[in-house]
Amino acid sequence: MEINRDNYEAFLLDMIEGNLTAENEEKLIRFLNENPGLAADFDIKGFMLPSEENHFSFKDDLKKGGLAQNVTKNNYDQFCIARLEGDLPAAGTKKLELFLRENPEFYPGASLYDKLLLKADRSVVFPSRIKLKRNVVKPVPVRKLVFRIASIAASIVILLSAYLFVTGIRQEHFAPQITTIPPFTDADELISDIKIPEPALIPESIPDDLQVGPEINQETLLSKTSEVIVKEEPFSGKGLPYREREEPLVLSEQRLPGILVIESHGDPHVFTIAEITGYGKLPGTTEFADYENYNSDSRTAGIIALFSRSRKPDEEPDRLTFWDLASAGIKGINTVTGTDLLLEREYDHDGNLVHVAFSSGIIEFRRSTGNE
Amino acid sequence: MYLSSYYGSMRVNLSMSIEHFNKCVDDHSDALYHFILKNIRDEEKARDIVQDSFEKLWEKLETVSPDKVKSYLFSIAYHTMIDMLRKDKRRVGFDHVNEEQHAHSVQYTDLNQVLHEAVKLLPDIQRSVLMLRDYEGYSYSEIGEITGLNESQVKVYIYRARMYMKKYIGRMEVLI
Repeated sequence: MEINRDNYEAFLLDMIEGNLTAENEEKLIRFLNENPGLAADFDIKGFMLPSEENHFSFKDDLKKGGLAQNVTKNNYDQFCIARLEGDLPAAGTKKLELFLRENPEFYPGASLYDKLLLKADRSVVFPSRIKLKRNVVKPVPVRKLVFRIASIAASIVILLSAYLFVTGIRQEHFAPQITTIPPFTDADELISDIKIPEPALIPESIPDDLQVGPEINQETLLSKTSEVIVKEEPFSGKGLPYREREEPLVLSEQRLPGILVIESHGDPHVFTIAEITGYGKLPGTTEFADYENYNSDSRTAGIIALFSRSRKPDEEPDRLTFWDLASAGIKGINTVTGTDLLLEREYDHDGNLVHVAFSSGIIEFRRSTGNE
Repeated sequence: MYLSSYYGSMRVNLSMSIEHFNKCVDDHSDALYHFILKNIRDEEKARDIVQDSFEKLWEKLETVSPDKVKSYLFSIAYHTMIDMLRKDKRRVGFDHVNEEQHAHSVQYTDLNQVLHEAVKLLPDIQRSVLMLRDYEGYSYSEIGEITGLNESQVKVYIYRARMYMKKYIGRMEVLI
């Protein structure tokens, strides 16, 4: 095929792409020499794309062990950052330094990396730190708790003692006091004045262990058993034997030893067991505990008592004892802490303290005082 | 075991937990607040995030290992912050440098100031990993645990952040 002005571009493309045969290439060159105008328009060098000398800038990043390679202008940033992060091994550091010595134009850029480390502003403080915190509840060992309670009790006792010592206040007679009544003197008259609630029930039998304290003078006991008029109605109520008393009260000493108490001031009054035992200081109170078994009704104790709240005129007032203070302290602790501590005392017939009992939710003991 | 001793041990454990928790508050609340504040630049929201993080820590205190408490806190705070930022849509793109903010009208005289201005312009994730790296000294793997990225991703983000900041302060140095 002859080369002419209409088809010479196709021959040119074939030549550029290497598809032209040697014979046709000679023909094309001869044609271009014969037509210098066409050859001037066609710059074969300009037609060809320049060879790409630049490397793909991220090629090194994609390679494994990039920092093991030599430092180039394309990857020196990577070396600088690695040095900043402390990831660059000693060999890499030497390579970077060598590169920077050989290419000082990169030194200013590399030195900028050394300034990139951020410094935290430690003056910034979280403003609501207290709100974040939880309240600390420190555990109190039981031993410490006991000591703590004992300390409070002791403090109360000491303060109360000091107060009483300073003010000279003596203990009031909250406990029933017994007035001596001549035996059998006007007993009927006295009894007749008593307003006895109806029906007042008298137990048929008194517990053997029912005892009273020494304050109750035996002379106060009224014994006119023969005059007691009773109507037998056994086994009513809770199935416990009792007798309904209809007539003025005359009690047998044997039946109610030492229970009858006469009030010397004010109107005579009939007290039920509940009322009597309500006074913690009544001697023999603890013995009444079992007596509840005989009655479901507090008024059916059947023990009629007259007693005095007044002081015996010729008697020295009771002094405040250690136990009174301890009781007051424990009562105070119960009030303050809501606990249920209990201190009980037991007296013998002579009024001597024989036993002391303490109970709480945790501890309970009963000790003899050695006065038995 | 007696009931009293059982409750006693519970009380002791609770007390230890409380003391441990309060120590965490003392040790980490400032750093956490600083980290969040620098990221979102909103004191109230930063406070909320820190509080929320410690609440979650309190709930999980028994399950979080003592040596992982700080990472746990930063992780909770970071994810809460990212959620908040996404909701607010205050950012143009999560991984996109805001080139529009390159126009500077402020005169800087302090390199540290320039650096912090540059940090503000970083994408959220790059800023976060960079702060965790520089402020708290976390390793790549720890940052990965906190942010949920793998170690390579963390490296790439740090690399890009450093590159950007280098260019930024290079330009600023000329201005300064």
